[in-house]
Amino acid sequence: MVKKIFIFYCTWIDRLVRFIGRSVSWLMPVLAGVIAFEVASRYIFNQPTIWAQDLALFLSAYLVGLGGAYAYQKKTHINVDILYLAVSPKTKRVFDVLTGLLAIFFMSVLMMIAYEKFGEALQFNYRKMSNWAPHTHHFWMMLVVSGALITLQITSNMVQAIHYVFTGHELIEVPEEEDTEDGN
Amino acid sequence: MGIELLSGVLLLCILVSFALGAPVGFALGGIAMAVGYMTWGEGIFSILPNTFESTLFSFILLAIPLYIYMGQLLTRSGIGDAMFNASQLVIGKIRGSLAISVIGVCSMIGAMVGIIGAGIMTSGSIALKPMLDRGYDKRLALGVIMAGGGLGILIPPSVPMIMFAATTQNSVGKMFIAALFPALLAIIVMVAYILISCKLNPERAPLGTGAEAKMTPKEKRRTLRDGFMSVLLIFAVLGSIISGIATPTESGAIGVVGAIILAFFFKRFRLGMFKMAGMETAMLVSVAMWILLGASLFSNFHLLMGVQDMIANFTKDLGLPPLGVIILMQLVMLALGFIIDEFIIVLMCAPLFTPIVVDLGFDPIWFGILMILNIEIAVQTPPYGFALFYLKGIAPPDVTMLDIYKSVTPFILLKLLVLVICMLNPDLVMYLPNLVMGE
Repeated sequence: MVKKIFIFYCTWIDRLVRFIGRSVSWLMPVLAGVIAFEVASRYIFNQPTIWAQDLALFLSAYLVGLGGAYAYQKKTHINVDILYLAVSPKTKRVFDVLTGLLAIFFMSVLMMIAYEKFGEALQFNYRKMSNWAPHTHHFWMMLVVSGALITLQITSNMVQAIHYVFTGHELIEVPEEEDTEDGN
Repeated sequence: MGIELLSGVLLLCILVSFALGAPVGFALGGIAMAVGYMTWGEGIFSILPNTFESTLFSFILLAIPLYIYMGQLLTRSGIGDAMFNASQLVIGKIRGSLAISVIGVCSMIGAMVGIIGAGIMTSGSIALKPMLDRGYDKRLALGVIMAGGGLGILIPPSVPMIMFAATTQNSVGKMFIAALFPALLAIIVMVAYILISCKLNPERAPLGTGAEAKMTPKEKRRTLRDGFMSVLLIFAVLGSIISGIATPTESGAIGVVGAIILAFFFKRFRLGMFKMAGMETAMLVSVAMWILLGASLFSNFHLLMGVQDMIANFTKDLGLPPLGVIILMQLVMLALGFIIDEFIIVLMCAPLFTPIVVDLGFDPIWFGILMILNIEIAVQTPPYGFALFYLKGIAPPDVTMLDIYKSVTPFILLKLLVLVICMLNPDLVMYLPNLVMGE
């Protein structure tokens, strides 16, 4: 029964993070398009925009922030694996839990501070210092959400790691397969 | 707590968390916040918003996602094959030509991908099989892939260079131009080595009748045209920066549009490919930027505590001549390359070392180029340079780690030679950028 709850928890967090991570990856072509449009409008239409630069920065911030959790899930975050690769699967899981705690601490600080800034930005109506002067409150809220997503993903990994340490089996035998279709 | 003790504690925390396999960006940020909280109190958290804002709202750093995206699109649209085939068509009659093509093409691919690991993987997947099929000595084959893939960070556009320029407030464009001479020098010495070594040991690089000999003139023309278009795009991206038409970030966007056009041109554009390129880029970019966030947080905290003075005093107390200090810094970075990857070396060393170097009267751009050259060597130096493990990953199963060590050694020595030349002759590096962009 407990095991079922764990599986349910981990599967749904993984799905949520994957959905958000894949969705924000579509910001990448948009980001390139916005900047290319700026160059074109400056040289071809002779009319530089005031919003392109700010918009591009926001797009990339959202991509990086919200994509962080999915990158963590896919284990693409770079780590130094000289010792890590040499230890047994169980020890590896213990290491994962320890380093996960450090990352959760970082994310908690991030969420706390970003939430404070969000309140401030709303209250004093902060804007970005530029011609376009867009609001910045949503940026801080996005960082809170990003921190929360990363924290959730870490807890999901931790539950699986702790389960492995105690039972010696994977919690979820076959992780959900993704379409690995390649263009070529 | 004194700064010496604090630095010791921070270093220890880094070593432990890295050894435990922590994701680098999260670990650096977490350590800075945790140690800061214990020594300074809650006040230290106030550096977080500024760091996040200045990193995520930096228009220069926006070049990183765009170049990575361009590289992903290009490598998936078969540009590597196009350049490789075209270069074989041109120089296929020379002994060792395949190895020379690999140096050229891999350095181009590495430049577009912008990251050593990805550069080696992509280059290896294109070039290793043709060389082994034709009976090339496997050590030569692996060595040139490593050498070419590693060259990528020296050839603009290069992600570590953007990071260096952004963290030390230097011009990305000037840095790119300064890299051209060392890159050319490195390519020349490596090509010379291949030619001489193949002349002396003809069995290392058999002459073969490759597929290009059987091509019809029409196919030949198409191959050449594809290769030409590929090289043209790279020059267009670089040219738009040098001529001042676009900032490095904007030229990244131009490169992305160019890559998409090229993919259509090569008839390789598929929605699936487009989607995968976007997803892969999003992932690489998230990782790179979270490392940047964590590392900036770490170095801002460390700088706030006064590490700059400590290092300055330390180097003064050593009483070394200026060049001695530079050499010492090179050795530190070389040692770091054994355990950590190129981004982190740049992000940790650039803000610490560069002000001292400038105080000694050197040019920061020149120092940045030395740093890039050095990192390129560090990450492939046996026994633990991390690029060696990437190479092992793509090599056939019968290749041992010892083969890998032997295969990279001659190329490491050649790169060391380039590094020493550039270190002793700053004018060689700085002539071009000063000419184009002024002192």
